[in-house]
Amino acid sequence: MIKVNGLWHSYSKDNIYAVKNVTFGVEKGEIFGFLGPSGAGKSTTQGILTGLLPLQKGEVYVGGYDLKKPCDDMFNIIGVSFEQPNVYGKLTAVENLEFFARLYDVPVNDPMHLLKMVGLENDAKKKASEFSKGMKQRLVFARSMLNNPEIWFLDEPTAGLDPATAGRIKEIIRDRNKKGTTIFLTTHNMYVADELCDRVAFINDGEIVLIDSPRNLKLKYGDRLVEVEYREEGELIKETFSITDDNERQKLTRLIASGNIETMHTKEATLEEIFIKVTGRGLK
Amino acid sequence: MLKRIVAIAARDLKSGMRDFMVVYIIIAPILLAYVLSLFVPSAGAATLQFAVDKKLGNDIVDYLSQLGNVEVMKDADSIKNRVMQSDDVVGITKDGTKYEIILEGNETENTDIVTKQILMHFEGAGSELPVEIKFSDIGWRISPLAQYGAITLVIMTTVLGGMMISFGIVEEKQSGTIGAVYASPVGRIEFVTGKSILGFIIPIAQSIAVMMIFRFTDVNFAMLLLVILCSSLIGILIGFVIGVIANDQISAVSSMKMTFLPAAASVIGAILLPSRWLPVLYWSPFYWTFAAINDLILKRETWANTLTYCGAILLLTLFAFLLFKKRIKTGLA
Ligand SMILES: Nc1ncnc2c1ncn2[C@@H]1O[C@H](COP(=O)(O)OP(=O)(O)OP(=O)(O)O)[C@@H](O)[C@H]1O
Ligand SMILES: [Mg+2]
Repeated sequence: MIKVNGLWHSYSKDNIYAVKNVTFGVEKGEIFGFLGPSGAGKSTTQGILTGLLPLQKGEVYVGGYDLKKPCDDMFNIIGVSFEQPNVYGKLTAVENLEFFARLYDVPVNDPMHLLKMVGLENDAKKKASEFSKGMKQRLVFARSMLNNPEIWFLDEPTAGLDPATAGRIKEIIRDRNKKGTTIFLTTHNMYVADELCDRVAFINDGEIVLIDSPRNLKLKYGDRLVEVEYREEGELIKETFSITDDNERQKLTRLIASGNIETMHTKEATLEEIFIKVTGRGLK
Repeated sequence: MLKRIVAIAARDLKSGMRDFMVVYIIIAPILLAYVLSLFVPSAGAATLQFAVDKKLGNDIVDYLSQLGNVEVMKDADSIKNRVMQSDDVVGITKDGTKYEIILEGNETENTDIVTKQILMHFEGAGSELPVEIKFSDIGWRISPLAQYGAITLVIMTTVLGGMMISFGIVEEKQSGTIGAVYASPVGRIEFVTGKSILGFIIPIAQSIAVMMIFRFTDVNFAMLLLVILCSSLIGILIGFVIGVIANDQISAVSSMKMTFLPAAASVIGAILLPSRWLPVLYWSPFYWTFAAINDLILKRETWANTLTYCGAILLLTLFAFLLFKKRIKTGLA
């Protein structure tokens, strides 16, 4: 559904690139995560893919449309949820959606239904300028679903939301994905990426460092660890063993045999730990 | 396509109606027209002005007093001075037995002919006025306040229409919604057209209201519409330029004030300058609007003239557009 080949972008049109030689593909029905720290070039990439930034260098195909020849028709099949809560403050929530609904050539969802989905049904008649940041963000999220997009671009859809609301949003994302929507999700939240994405791309300093499924990444890069609490001469001791290391594995086996273990659980590496391992920096 | 253009214009209007500044802009010219119209002498009151030489005697003064205001002057020179003042005064004196009509040259058309007819009638007194003397002729009864007030306000509406556009663009920029609109099937041309619509509709509605309030109800509305459509373009262009440059409404307003300067200069110049000086205003599209509306009010319009005026307005706007095209394009990206 999305094909990106050798994408470069410079805001200043010189040799300072916000995105460098980015190449990836997103299959139909996939949730593809773009994970990287602030300033890594995630929003820039999404901007180019959604036609909001000019395509300077490289090949980009979205839903079969070649971004070298921009075509307004493409926007009937894509939905874009923005990082910044860009809504019309002087219009109410429902008026905001009604306006955008009129811009599409394809059948659109009922605005009230969408507001209900994101928990804004009671604020539908309130002016968006009176909304909190999180409410505006949910409105932007709801707006991006108006045209039942085949390809859905989500830039930090859960940033700044409380856990319950974030959970609701994630539920909607999973649900639509089950119905066949291809999703390009940008985030610096490793949990969101881990929970939702079929595959993630690590992006750092404008470059894709690696692309794989969260599970494969953890298998490949994460030390598989076992955390054990055991009692020795009356004292509670907490220790972590790597099961990839022969020495430690033998120690763990002896410990299990001794029968002194009180708690024991496997601990897998987080995407963040893997990110640090690969890039030498954290996601914050 | 049309659906989207209408949606964009309707949204701007809706947003605007919730903005005190925009509401004010919409009603201000109408309110001003109403207030000014209160000072316009009621319809039918003669505004013919004569400056008559004392030596012509009382009979003619009495006769002319029935038709308008008469000032009696002591000699030909003081008549000449009076005529040169800014209002339309017809000087009448006598050279031997022949009447001499003294005009400044910028009076309403046919002033000399009508005056001649009046004098002929006076000489052959007794009967009713011959019908050819068109007293009811609009040009003779228009108060300059109504005439110039209406023209000024019509020009003002075109600039105010542009102001609405700049507010709309500033709103989009500040909220970042312009990106959201571009992420829908709206094309750039649709966006710009949609954003321009109010710049036409508001001035047209306001101008018609202004003309009605000043009781210019029987002007040629087809031509009026055409002239306002053309003049609105310059307002729209200014609106877009200011919209992309200004970061908030306040700075948009202060930039807009700057455009009132050439507009006001054109109007004042057109009223006060003697005709041989008028070419110094030819650069200004506002001057051509003035000329076109003036003709319409005085009912001396012809399609040829109106089209020439409109052509001049369009040409000057096109020139300005080419100057600012790039700035607008990058500003709306
Ligand atoms: N409009 C702009 N003009 C110039 N430079 C920009 C612009 N937007 C982003 N950049 C630069 O491009 C780089 C990538 O920014 P981008 O917004 O794509 O990062 P991001 O990964 O989305 O970060 P975040 O997680 O903070 O949203 C940064 O160095 C940023 O400073
Ligand atoms: Mg970003």
